[in-house]
Amino acid sequence: MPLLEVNNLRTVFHTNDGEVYAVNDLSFSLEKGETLGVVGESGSGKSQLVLSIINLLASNGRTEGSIRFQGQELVGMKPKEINRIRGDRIGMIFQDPMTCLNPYLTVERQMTEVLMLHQGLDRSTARQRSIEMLDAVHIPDAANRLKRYPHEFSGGMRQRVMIAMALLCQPDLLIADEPTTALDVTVQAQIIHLMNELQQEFGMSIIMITHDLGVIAGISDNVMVMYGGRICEYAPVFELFQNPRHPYTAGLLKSVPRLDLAGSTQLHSIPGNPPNLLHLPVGCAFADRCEKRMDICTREQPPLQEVSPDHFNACHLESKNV
Amino acid sequence: MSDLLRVKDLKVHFRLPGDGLLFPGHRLLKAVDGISLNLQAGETLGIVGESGCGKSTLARGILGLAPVTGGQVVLEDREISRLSARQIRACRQQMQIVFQDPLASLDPRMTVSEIITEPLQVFEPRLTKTQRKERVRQMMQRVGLLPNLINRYPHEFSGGQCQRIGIARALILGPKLLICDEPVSALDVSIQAQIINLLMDLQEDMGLAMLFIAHDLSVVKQISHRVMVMYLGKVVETATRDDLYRNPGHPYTRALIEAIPIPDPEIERNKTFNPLSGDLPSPLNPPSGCTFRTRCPQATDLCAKQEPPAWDAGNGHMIMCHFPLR
Repeated sequence: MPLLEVNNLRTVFHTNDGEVYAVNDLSFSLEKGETLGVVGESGSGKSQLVLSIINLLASNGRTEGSIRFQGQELVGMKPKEINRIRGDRIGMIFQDPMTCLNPYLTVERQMTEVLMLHQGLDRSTARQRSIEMLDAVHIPDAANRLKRYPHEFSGGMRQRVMIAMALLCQPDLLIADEPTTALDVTVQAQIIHLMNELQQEFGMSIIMITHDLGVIAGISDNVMVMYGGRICEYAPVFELFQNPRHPYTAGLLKSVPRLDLAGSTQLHSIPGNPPNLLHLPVGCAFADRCEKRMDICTREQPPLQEVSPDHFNACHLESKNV
Repeated sequence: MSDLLRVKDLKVHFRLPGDGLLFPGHRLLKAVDGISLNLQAGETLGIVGESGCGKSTLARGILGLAPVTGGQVVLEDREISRLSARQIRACRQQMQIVFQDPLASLDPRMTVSEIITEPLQVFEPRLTKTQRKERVRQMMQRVGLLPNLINRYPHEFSGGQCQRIGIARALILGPKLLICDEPVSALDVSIQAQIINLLMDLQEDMGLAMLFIAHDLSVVKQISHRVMVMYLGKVVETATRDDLYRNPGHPYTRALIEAIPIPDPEIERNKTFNPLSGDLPSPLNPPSGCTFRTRCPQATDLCAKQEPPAWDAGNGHMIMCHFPLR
């Protein structure tokens, strides 16, 4: 049984301007110990996907479909039950560590709270475990640092605290939503290195959301490329980078300036802008930016089909080739 | 060819109130501490460094948007760092800036046409309404904005389009110097490539001198002719693009280059490197000697005692290190 199984997930927001379709008919599964990289532009629905999984959508959001975590259905679960899973079996790290930590409470208070609530530990044991965890994420002088407030830490240190906090209960799944985007490259390298190390130590599964294809290349086993709230391509990491089949994936890979290649005069760029989730087109959401567009693309949604073992692509070109 | 912009030993120091305990008087934050650079027409100088290294303050110092406490800024043989607010305003026609956050740098209550027209009203008041309109229309077309969008407001545009509006506004007066302060770091990858290409085109057409500030070394590599690396308010290395990326001479430059993840799993997973440990030290209390020594893998006693001299590796490649990598 996979650790996480998502089937026909749909997330809709009611707004004054109409319905926003953030996630549309999305299905995937995640095995134990696997790292899934999720790539997409802003507005592709990648963050709303994970917020749906952990039931933290804004109040105007609604989820349909099925999300099974360790066999338990998460959609429609009562807050009391999901609270037992969230923070315990599923850990989360968000983009901006400053806004995720409570500025009024010491790091000790915030970390011990997790352990006391989920595992019923007493304060001194919880404190000891927190120190061990801060050590594990390489925060020097952990015992003293524990008494500090979040603002006394630098950005990279705060993200380490967030990671330590997410891992306190040794979760089976760690969800990281752009954990390094707000950090400098040197600090990003430290954090990625740390996540790889911790995964080997604790063996958890990771869902890593990022727009940085370099980070994806370094950390993922499988990659899911999202566009307009749908999966447009899903493949093992080596396969995806060597043999991208969806025009969007291929375009994305070509438009990244590369440090390891000689700079050419012009970068490849994808024309146009990301789609508006308020008015998603009937056909393929990428159609109006696609250089290989055919008539059918604007009329029909391309199905996600397996084109080679474990490599899925949602593009009408696949049907044409067959 | 003579330089369009010459910056000599520029200093921007901020006086901060003391904390009453360790520093009872005031404290001095040396955001930019003795930076020199020159820039020719048609040339792009990339400036890279981590957040807090003073790259944006340097840009503001050059434009006269931050108080310059020492050194010189010479634009077309005219010293401009000591001018009054009124005098420097006239110079701004020659130098413009594009900011990081495309939406925040546009007035939400003005339409696109009002935003792009405003510089013309200020600096070329003699133009007739029709002439102004024509100039705006041409400019919009040049940066890739459809003319039918002219009466829309900024919030109706995506990030990439807002950045195009910002570029149009900056270029409508035909400046000679364009400073771009992280112009693409808030944009998605596919849009980022559009804006970089646009800036490169515009530079070639208009012969702009460009200061391109970014923390992303791969973007800087794409667009720059020369690159300057900053650390804690100082230059640690300057070189032509190819020299810098092929033979980085400063350990900090090398660490920065190695830290960038390469979008290729074969390379990325077989990379052996030791990420720099620690964070940027506080600029209020920089380390003695070489400011990088606290994070440098090869620092010695000498580095703590003496500020490193500039080491000339030829071809304008300057390295501020006691033990440059060879």
